[in-house]
Amino acid sequence: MTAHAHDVDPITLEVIRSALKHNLDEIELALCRTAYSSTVYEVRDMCAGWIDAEGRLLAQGRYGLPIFMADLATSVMPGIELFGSDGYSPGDVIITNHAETCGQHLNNVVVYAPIFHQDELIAFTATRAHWADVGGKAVGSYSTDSTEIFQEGIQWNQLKVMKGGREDQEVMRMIANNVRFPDQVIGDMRAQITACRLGERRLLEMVERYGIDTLRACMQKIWAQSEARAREVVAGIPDGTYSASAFLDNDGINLDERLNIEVAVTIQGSDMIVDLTGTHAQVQGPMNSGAAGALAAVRVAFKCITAPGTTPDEGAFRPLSVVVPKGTFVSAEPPAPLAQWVIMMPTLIETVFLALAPVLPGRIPAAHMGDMSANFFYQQSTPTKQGFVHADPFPGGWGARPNGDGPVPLKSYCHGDTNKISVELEELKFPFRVLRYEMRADSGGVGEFRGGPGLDREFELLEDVMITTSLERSECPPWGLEGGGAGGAPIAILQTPAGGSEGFHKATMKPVPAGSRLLISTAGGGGFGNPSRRDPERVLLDVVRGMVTERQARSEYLVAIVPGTKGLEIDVAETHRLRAEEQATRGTQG
Amino acid sequence: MSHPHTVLLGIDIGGSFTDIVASNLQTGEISYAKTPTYSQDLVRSLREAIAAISVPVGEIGVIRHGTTVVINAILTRSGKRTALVTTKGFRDVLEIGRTNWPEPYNLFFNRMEPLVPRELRFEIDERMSASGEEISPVREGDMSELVAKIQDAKVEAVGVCLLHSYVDDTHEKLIGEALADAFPDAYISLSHELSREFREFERTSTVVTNAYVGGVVDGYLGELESYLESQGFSGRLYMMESNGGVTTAESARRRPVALVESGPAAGVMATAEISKLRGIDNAIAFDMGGTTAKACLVEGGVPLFTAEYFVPSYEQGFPLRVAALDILEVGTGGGSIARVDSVGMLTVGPESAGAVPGPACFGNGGEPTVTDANLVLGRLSPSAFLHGETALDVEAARSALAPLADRLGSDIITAAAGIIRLANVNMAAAIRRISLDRGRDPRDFQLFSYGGGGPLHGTEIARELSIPRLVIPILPGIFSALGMLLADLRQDFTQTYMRDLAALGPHELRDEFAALESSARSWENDIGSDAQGRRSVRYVDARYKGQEFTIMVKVPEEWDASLAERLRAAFEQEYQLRYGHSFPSLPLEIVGLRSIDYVSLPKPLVTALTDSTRQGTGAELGSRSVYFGSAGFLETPVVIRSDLEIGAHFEGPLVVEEYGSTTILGPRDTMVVDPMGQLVIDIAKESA
Repeated sequence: MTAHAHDVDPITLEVIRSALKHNLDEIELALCRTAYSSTVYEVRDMCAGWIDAEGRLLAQGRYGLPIFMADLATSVMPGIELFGSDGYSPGDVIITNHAETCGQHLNNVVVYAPIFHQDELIAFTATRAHWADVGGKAVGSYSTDSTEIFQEGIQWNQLKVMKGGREDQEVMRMIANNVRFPDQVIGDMRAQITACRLGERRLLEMVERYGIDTLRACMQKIWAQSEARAREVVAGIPDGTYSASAFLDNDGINLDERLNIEVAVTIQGSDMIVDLTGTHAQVQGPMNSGAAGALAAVRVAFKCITAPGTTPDEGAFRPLSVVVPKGTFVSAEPPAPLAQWVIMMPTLIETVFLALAPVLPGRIPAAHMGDMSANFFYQQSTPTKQGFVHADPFPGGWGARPNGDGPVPLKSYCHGDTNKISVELEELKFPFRVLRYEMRADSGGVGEFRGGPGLDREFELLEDVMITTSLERSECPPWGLEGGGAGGAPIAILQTPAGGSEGFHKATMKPVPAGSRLLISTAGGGGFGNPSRRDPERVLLDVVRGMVTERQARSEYLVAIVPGTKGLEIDVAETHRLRAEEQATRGTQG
Repeated sequence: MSHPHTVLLGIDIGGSFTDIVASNLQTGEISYAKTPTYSQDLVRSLREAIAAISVPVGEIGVIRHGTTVVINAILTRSGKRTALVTTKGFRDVLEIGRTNWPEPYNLFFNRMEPLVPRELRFEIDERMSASGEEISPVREGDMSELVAKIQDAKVEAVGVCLLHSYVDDTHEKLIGEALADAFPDAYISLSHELSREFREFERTSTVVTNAYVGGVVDGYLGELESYLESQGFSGRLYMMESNGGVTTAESARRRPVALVESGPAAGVMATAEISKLRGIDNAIAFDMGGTTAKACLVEGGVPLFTAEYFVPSYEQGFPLRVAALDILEVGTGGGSIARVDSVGMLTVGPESAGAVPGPACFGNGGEPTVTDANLVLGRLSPSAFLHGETALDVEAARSALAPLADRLGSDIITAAAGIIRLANVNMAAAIRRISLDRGRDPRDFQLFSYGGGGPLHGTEIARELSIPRLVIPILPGIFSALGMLLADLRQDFTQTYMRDLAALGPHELRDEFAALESSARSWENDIGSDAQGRRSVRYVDARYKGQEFTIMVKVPEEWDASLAERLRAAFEQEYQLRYGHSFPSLPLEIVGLRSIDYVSLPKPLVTALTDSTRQGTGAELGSRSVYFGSAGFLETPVVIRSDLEIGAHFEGPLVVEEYGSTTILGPRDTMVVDPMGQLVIDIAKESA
């Protein structure tokens, strides 16, 4: 880089910033539209961006999952080291899902391609997408009880699937022969290749139009601005070290062992250091993530706090450093299994928020459902019948805010703008009926502002199926803040036609006979502030709406609701008495 | 007493202004006006608009009318108290939606409250399967209990959406009849009457909105009709819909939710009709207003449309499953505010100065806007704004821009030019998006630029996109009202229909379409003698089996053995165009059927439109100093549009002033006045 930031006029800068954003929109949408698996086109389990020749993130799109936070470069850099910067030719396409360098479950495959301008390697278009299957012991390469990465699928470490514009048929065969749904997988890979080609075309158009030097100077300036914006926020937080901890239920195998997450956030001027030392060691089961996952989670938290409205780039994270010793379950070393690598992310993100809550008043909501997992229905293929996999990510309650109630149920912080599939479509395609799909009464954490409700979703199975479920945070349900209560914990309950009933949180390929009912209840969000300060009228409205029971209104909100002439009403005298009593108790407690 | 029905009227009642265009079929005369809208007084808005063009109401044969009454009722939550009835277990579908977080990283995200709160959402124990078999019937006792609950809720409207009613509507009809009996004065709306496509959230949201605004529209139409009648109106009244067509007042009462985006749709229809008249195959309709800009593709005289859109926005709003023109809106308009943030980043919009305080040059204080930038650059005349009715304060604009220029480290002129450039880039991006998303190259299109700001920004936007030709149509400031005057009757029928293409016989598809169309043509009796023939255009939604996204493919007119093959070929061609590749060996699947009925209505003659724009021979305004980027300020000739001869040629730099808008030609842009009086501008390659 020879150009300097001060060479750039502010208007050209904005024009280029806008062009970067709009071009990346186009690239990500093209990837989604041409993809074959619903995980990509519906759940948007993908991302795309441009990395410069030195491995820095020029810019990343905004439609992918938030967890893919500025982590594409981590997967491209090892390629630059392996091939050398002169080891790429125009028309090459490289794939990688190498566990050690990517640090994610093997389904997340990065497909990237070099971009040349006048024989000079100037950048890469890089895409990541969740492939429907990459082999291994479980359908969809998704299990909650694998113990080594090798059970979870095959690894491709910087393989050129295209060389000089031509597909390498040997590599293609090797991919197709090692996955369960080769048409879908190869289709998705081609969608990623299409996106890479489009990325090349669009970046070269920008180079043509604005000149490579101007483009580079603008990138420097954009990074500098992103950095300045983040530093401004961090500098507003008082210096000091702020700690918090939380935990996950277990690793799916050793069910009695909690996985603690320790976060110490140090603010020094405009720098933030997030230290995860003390976090639980890597585990036998697949709840591990590589260090790249820990980095991405902390970056999501950092971005929410510093710059929620801008697209991520190299500069945005310069004020942030993440300290994570090797060998924790968020920085696991090979051959640790990684199938459930995302499970820890919502909790890690929230634990950073929890640490900072006291010094960012008004800016941090109470905890959300904290669970990024899903329920899967399967049927194995038989000679006469094609099998299926149906993934159903859990939405749940979000935390109350310092200025209002939690919102309606949403998927986790890590899912971003992804849609849940419609029940009418599910019932058309899969052998189950949904009996109810509703907000869960009393599940929102109590508080002056109530946590958002979790969901109850009950299925009736019409055929024998298998399920893989991994509900988390049942023992560390979404916490409240400033005196608010925790949200209701999640649980799955299975009733079989034989009359058995069983509550559980995790299961892998569990057989479920036709006629069974499966109820999945997701967590509510945490409450904010003391519930006895909640406006009784709002408590009444919650009761009228069936969001809060009369019992909870009385016991937690200290509001007495009684039948009146025009429906339910507040017993004002009794409410006074209940609240006065509580105040007196609090007073004597000092 | 009967009058000669010689006048056609298009009337667009917007939020701030009422635009009216009348065409006299006998004299060929066109008259038009822009008058204030009185939001609380429909009759006054109408009366003043009609008075402004001096047309006797008794001579009006056809009125086509667009209104913001539906969108306003939704945005201000002034609809009727509405209940919802759903299948047991599904009353929260409306509120849960699709559980997405459309503003990732925003920890304070909230969606709009649903139009029907939870205490007014009632369940009934019934069930249909996905294939339309009855799993559990509606029981008499449950029905009376439901009616009693709704009675207690004291609502004025009820929407009903049962699971899988798009396949089998028996239960929904049963409930609808019971509700109609019990509540004769309530507005009852059933989901299967509005949409025959799957996805319960979208259908629920649509039926709830329809019920919520039903009473409002009924009242509005009642007031409108009785006023017109009192003035001696004996013609026909049609209402503009979001799909770019008009419909009868009766149909509008049944499906008011279809009226939501009537104004923007009408502008696109004007583009479509004029591009047809002028033999232009590919056009982009571009409308720049005060707060937003909107763009829509028009191919072969037909605007692209979509089966679903969000009100008021994708992020906070809710979906409506009604055919609408596929219009992309961006938050850039004349009132868009320019700001520099703490790290020196310049933004233009989406915050708008609105009507109050308005741009700084209105003299009410406030932040600098796109209009202020246009003014200090000489692109906008202080006196000619909206036909000289409002004088603009150049000094106020300069003072508002000064602090912003300081923050950018530039002078006021450079800052103003930067604001214009950035606004243009944002608007160009919207046009790129609608074309590139569909594999279209904007350079293959002609840009029709209208609305208050469209003519002013048209040349630069076209240049930004390398679009070679720009058209400033006639009456750009009241183009939506003109579009209403040109619209035909249109009705959309849709049905989810899932079949493998390979297994589909041509007669099967023909029979399905026939069944769909006969079930829905209830409006036939209302159309009357103005109708001049009808035609149906049919489409299927198709996709590669296994993919989710569908592509709409036009069904050929002839039903023969090659149908499947031709549908396949059309699909592959479109897929190839959009994505650069296709998969000829993969199986194709049909997911939905769409049939669109058009019925032609009387229209003004093209020659009439032409003559009307030439209404004076006033003196040339002379010249003024206008800023053109690197060329700096140039003394630029100013002409009045109504003085221009048909066929006259001009070369930029040039300013063309007219009622409500200003067109700017850059140096070396060339312009010819076409036979309709439109300004056809060839864009010079390099920005000056």
